[in-house]
Amino acid sequence: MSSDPSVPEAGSAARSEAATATTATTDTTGTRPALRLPPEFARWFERRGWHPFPFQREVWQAYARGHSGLLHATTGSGKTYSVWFAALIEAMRGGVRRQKPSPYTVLWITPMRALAADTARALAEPLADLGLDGDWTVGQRTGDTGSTERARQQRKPPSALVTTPESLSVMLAQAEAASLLGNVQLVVVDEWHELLGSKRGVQAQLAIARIARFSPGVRIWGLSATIGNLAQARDALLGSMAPAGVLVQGKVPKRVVVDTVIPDVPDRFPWAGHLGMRMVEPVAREIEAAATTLVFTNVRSHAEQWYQALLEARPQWAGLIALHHGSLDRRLRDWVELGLKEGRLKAVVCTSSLDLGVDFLPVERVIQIGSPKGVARLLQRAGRSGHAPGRVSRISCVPTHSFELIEAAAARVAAGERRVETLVPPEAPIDVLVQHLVTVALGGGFDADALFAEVRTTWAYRDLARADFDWAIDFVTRGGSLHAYPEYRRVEQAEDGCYRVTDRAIARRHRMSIGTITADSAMDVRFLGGGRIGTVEESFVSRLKPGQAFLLGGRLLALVRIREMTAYVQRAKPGTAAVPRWMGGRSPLSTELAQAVVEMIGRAGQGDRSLPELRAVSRLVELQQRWSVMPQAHELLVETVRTREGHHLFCFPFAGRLVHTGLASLFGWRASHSALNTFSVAVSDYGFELLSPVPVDWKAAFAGDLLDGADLQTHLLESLNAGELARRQFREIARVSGLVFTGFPGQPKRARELQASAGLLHDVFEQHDPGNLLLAQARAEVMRDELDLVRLTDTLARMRSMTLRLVEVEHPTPFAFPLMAARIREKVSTEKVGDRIARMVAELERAAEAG
Amino acid sequence: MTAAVTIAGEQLQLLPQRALLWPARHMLMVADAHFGKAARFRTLGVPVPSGTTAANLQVLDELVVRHSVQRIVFLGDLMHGRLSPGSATFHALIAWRERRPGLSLELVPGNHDRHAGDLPPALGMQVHEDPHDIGPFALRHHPKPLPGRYVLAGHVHPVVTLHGSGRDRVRTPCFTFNEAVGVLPAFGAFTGGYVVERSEAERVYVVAGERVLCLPQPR
Repeated sequence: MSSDPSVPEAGSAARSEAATATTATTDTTGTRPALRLPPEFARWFERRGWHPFPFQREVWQAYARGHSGLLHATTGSGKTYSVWFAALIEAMRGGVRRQKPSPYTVLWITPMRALAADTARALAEPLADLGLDGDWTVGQRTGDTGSTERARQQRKPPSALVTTPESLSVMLAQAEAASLLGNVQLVVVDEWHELLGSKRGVQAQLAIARIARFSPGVRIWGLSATIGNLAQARDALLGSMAPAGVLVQGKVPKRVVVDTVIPDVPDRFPWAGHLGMRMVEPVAREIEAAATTLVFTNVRSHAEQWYQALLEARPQWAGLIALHHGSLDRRLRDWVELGLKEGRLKAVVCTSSLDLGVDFLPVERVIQIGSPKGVARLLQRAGRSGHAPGRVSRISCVPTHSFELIEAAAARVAAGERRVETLVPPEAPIDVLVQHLVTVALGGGFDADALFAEVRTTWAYRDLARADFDWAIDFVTRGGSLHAYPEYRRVEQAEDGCYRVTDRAIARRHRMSIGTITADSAMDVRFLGGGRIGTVEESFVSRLKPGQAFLLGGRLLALVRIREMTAYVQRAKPGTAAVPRWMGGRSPLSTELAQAVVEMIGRAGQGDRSLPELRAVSRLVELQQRWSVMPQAHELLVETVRTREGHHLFCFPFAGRLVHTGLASLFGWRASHSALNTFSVAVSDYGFELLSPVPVDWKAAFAGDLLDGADLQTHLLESLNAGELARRQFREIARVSGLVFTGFPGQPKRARELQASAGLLHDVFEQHDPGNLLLAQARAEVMRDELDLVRLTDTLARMRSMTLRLVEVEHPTPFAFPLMAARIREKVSTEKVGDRIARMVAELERAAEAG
Repeated sequence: MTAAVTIAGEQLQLLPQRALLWPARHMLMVADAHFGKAARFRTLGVPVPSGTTAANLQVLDELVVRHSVQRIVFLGDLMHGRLSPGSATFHALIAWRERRPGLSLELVPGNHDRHAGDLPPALGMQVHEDPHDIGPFALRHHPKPLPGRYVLAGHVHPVVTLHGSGRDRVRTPCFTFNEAVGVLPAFGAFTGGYVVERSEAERVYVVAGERVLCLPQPR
């Protein structure tokens, strides 16, 4: 079945070795005085013929000196043993060897509960050989842990516990939290980069601050993959709880190979919509050439479609290839993961659901369908392959349209130069603080002054104003508005000044809804017989009619009926099927990768054909140059064209789709100084289109205030329906701060009388309590997360400094075409779109041939 | 701006305040007011600001004056839950009633009203059986058709989602009418909505700010 991957397949999937940039990383760790390993540990390494890596010794030493820190290392590099052994070594040499460790000596926080079992196994594995299995026990506690196991832990707590930020918060909400977690020596946050940029990371910070209070002197260690701001990642983890934080450079994978699968005849008019299905055959050949391959797509719906397409191309692979994404049932995913470990599967089509986790040794190749969107993600995914000895990590990019050829080349160059993205940790989110206050009020109660000081030891709330803290307390005790509500008592202040939760129903609901991930109203999908397949979003199911077919988990299903929050289905006859679209997962092109793309386009425009991708796009480049210009890195390309549809403006700042959405609104507003309703808008990661029925004097607009940085925020707010955006953003805030109650995940809402949508609450607050800080947070999050104001401001400044190339063209150019196609796809929602776009391509091809 | 419709031979007006006016009878119909919902939320630990009851009553007041209303019929779910004497909602309702002693207040009870129990006598609410017949109409809470009558009902809290250009999307309450049943939007300021399926058999009137507009029929 498998052939030597180094032999290029005959045929179209030409892959040039010149396209293979190899990046070797050396160990940056200096030599340190050797730490004397206890003999048991030395023997443990000897028996395996291993030597401790310098970075492992460095961690052990720093830990022994009482330091906290961050270890930069990727999966499969021995990072687990570095921090875990640090705690075990100390236990052994402290003369307490024969003494049983205290309950919860080590807390190991993992971002995904799916990883908990594997992590617990990895931690328990060396204990027997070290002679510690009698003393040390490893437990796990996540949302999946059943009540029997929880009760067992209550009676006999393990010495080390693997858990998630959410489950740790639930523990903190127990009345006896202080005594339970009073002997913690080490808190480890695994895959810290996964949490750092999100509110879950803030939740983890708050939980660790609490533990540091209960267990003074606790050491905190983070493990992180490659990101651009490791020092900040360390600071955000430690806050001022553990001042002496070190940064240890671990072993980074030996070699990463990035290459591109190049299509036979790259299109001159790339269309972002067809998913590159013509690449199915080349991809199938690549899969044939390797023992086991992971095929990553950016979103779940694409994974479903690619899985189907691969099965159609190779029907004999039924049972040998599988599908894995976050909306599939846990048991299905477990089965796929086991199959990967055991090497039974030829290929798995997956999404970010397989970005993390234990290594699947058999995986030889990784294929990335479409843009990797960022350098860190590309490297992370590449690292999922090549763990068997003597192998390299190899990722092959599969462009779904011609521009992604340029992007693939850019990504390889950026990866080689390790131009990796930074992750921005959130600052002082009020909703997470509100949730934490109730958690702490449940977990033994709090004194306001002491908790304020404690919260300010976290990085996220280091500058928290006392007024905002007091508002949050007021919000949970009196409702946070000018009026006091006599019937409202979520948290109450006792006579001793201590804040506690006394209402049992409120306590129960809070424990059930701890967390910061917004559960999109997911609907269970089950067979009539009861077998669970996975989940889809409620909004998708609600559009389906009974009998209509859709794809899930690689199966063609027909909706039978909907009961409560479950969609009952049966197998459908082959035919056309809808593909569910799940929210999220559509991250914009990162700044780092965007910059690399700009540079690569500049190279292409200068006639550089040294890379196979650049040779493949030469027809596109030639036509773009003939009809318009290929912009150089310092040039801003703007094209205007008149078609039967109207007057188009195409602008290419290469700043990612979020920023382009904001820029498009801003341009429309500034050009007309009125609402945007006269323009149709389309955006991509490369640029945006504004279409109007009447001509606009764009030349004058560019000479005027179009790119002005002044009044940017005001103009944005006026141009966008900012109120509506904030209303949508409020959904997550309402859930985190406990305003809406969603019940157990995947189960129907229990508290019927508590049903109110976040949007409705938003409106009521806006009307009757406009000073509510949660509303202000929603507006701020729209500016930061939805519009990325910082990047937008930077982009505008960059655009002002560039040379404007305003070109009036006769036909939509290869650059402009994907935007037009995207807009038409959005406007018309029937299957006729494909035909219409095909017709447009044919017309443009005729124009191109005619010169 | 209101929309005028003729249903079962009677002229009715659809008001942007999410109520239905029958001018010939000086009658206002209101569905799903859900009084006391915000207070119930507060009791359960969700700090919904107060003021929604007062806002609802003020709207009713304005409609009574502007359209010379003599009767208000609530099509069920007047109360969200039990009205405890002494609560702010209780006082607001009684005070409003005292200001309008001549107004006839009538209720066709809904599922929430049944759980809420008896209303305070001081409210002077006349409670009907479901369905309650007036002229060609059968007034009820659940929009279940009745042979030979045209049903006017609530319960559903109908809303539609309208899509504009770009990411523009609006969710707005609506009235729906088919050949046998008309459904009113929820009147309450603190009530959600259920997105209704568009169909050829149904005419949909949306509340668009200060206006009520008829949506074109789907293809």
